[in-house]
Amino acid sequence: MKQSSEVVVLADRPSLVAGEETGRAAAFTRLADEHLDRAYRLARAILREPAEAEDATHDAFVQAWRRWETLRDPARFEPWFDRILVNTCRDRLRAPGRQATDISAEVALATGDHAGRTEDRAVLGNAIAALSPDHQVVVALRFYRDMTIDDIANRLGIPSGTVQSRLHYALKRLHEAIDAGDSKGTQR
Amino acid sequence: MTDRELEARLEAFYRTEVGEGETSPLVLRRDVAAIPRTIPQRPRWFGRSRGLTLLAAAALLLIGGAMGAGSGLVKVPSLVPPVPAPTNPVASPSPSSVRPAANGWIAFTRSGSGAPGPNGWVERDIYLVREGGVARRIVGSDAEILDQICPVFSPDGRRLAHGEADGTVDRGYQGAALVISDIVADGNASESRRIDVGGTHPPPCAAWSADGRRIAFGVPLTDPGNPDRPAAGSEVWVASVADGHVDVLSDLLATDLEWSPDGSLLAIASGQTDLVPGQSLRDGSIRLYDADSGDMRILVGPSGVSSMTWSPDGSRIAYQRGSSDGGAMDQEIRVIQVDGSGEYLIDRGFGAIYGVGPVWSPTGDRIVYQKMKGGTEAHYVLLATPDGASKVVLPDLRLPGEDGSVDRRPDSVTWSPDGKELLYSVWVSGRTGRALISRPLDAGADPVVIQEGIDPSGENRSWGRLPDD
Repeated sequence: MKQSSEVVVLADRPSLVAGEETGRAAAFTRLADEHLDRAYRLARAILREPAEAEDATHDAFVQAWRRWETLRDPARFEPWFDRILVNTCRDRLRAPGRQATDISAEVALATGDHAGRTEDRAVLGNAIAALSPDHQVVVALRFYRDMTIDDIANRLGIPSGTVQSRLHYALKRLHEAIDAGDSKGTQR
Repeated sequence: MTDRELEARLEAFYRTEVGEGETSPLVLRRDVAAIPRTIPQRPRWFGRSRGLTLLAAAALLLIGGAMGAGSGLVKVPSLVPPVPAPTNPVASPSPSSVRPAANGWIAFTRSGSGAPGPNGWVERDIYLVREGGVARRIVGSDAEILDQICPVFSPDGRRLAHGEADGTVDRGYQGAALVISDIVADGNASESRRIDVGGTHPPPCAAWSADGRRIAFGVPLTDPGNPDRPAAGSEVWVASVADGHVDVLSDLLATDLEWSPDGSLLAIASGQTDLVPGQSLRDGSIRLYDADSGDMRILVGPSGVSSMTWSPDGSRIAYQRGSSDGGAMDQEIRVIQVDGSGEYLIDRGFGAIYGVGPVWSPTGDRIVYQKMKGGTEAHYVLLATPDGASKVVLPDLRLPGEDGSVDRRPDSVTWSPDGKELLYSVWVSGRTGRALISRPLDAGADPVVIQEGIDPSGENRSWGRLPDD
């Protein structure tokens, strides 16, 4: 049997904790700095509210720092971090007060008396906001990030079929909401 | 409108909504840069897994080699149809024999002297300390560069189990093993049993059964960098200490393992939230595994359970659940009768990003747990009666002579063996490492710093007694 070795008195040994954490902090700071703008823009695309996006981005970097040891290859920082960010945004979309609501009234309002780009954005924005959080995330990754189905699946860690299904139902709902808005606008 | 037109409108929408050159606000950039200085590095997964390092390190691993190596492993079904609730003989906690002034020994983990890895991680070593004493390394030597973590005393204090592996968190691991050592009163340890885990797993973190006959630990095969990945293939190993025989419970991505006080049942909190039907077993349920019969039954169905604790009489389990990983104000503490006859709520609507979930006192009359102060990194420590009728928020930890300017924030809290003190692992914003602080619950008794500079990650302390203590 292997015997334990000599007793080591902690006070006799120089602490490595500070140097250790400095190296980690430097690596984190560098990667965070490189990816911050892109991360913030993705949060903006998903959450749309700048303040919410700012909070979500900060929360995601806090999470990333806490889980830093699970990042084995810094070259994989972006996909690793994106997942944390997307999950953070999705949690915010799920928070009370941000649940999907019936947007028919807003669609009617937005399309009733105005024309042009502004109400088109409002209609689309409201229609997207009415989607489930999972659907909103997939739509943003597909049409903001321009990611393929497989890339989204990899990024979210879910099967491609699930992404396809979410995208299908999301687009169907968007179609319905926008068509309803367009037809009301036409009638007026 | 055609599909293509809709897609074009969506692309245009996002182009307008989020400008290509839009930059993050300066205040955000400043706050993110400050994170390493202000936020302690403690992976959620480690913190919540009292006995486990299940999701904290290397993953996507194969265990075929280890399982085929003639180590006596036997596959048992992951989930056997429900069986009648097993009888749980009432076992009163044995009276403590430790001296009130020095409530036993504490084993903990601290960074070693090996060269740092690419992200600064170094191997860790195991030390022993008691109140008023000097910490001593008791396992391994400076000649090796093994990462040794998760020391845990056997219930009789005569043995110490720890996980070890060649490598570091950021370099990856080889040759992980659970090591059991006999401890003598002078604090020396001699290895008496080694259970090889193999592959590139991180060092395992184990939980002893109350009778000391068995020990259980998790072997994760999922990818911690990909936490939504299906958990199929992750396992719980239940080992006989006497002969090293291992039963493998497959398809369990456990986040907590807790033995019943009579040693017959292993409660397994398996999984987290974000269940994808048919794709993931990370469902946050509680399963009860009967180590003698091999039967398994579900006590609490999928509901985001992450950690739990048995009552000392074995009749109830308190558990923490929530749909988020603790960052949202959706956490709950519940208590369920193990025979399934009832369940009740202790607390709800809070966040908890530190802590290990509820811990039942050895005396059975209180449960300690933590919750966030609002949305901040600081946490309250609460004591609740097991019926939920009374909850007390403990005052913030303050050492004698301190004026309150030092904000000592609880990281994890557990009980001393006699239930008269709480052992805090604390951190101070902007400082490195953790400190172990004992807080007597007697009115007027001051907290005592037992050790500074313990490892900030992983399961880092076990409070036990040496046999001659």
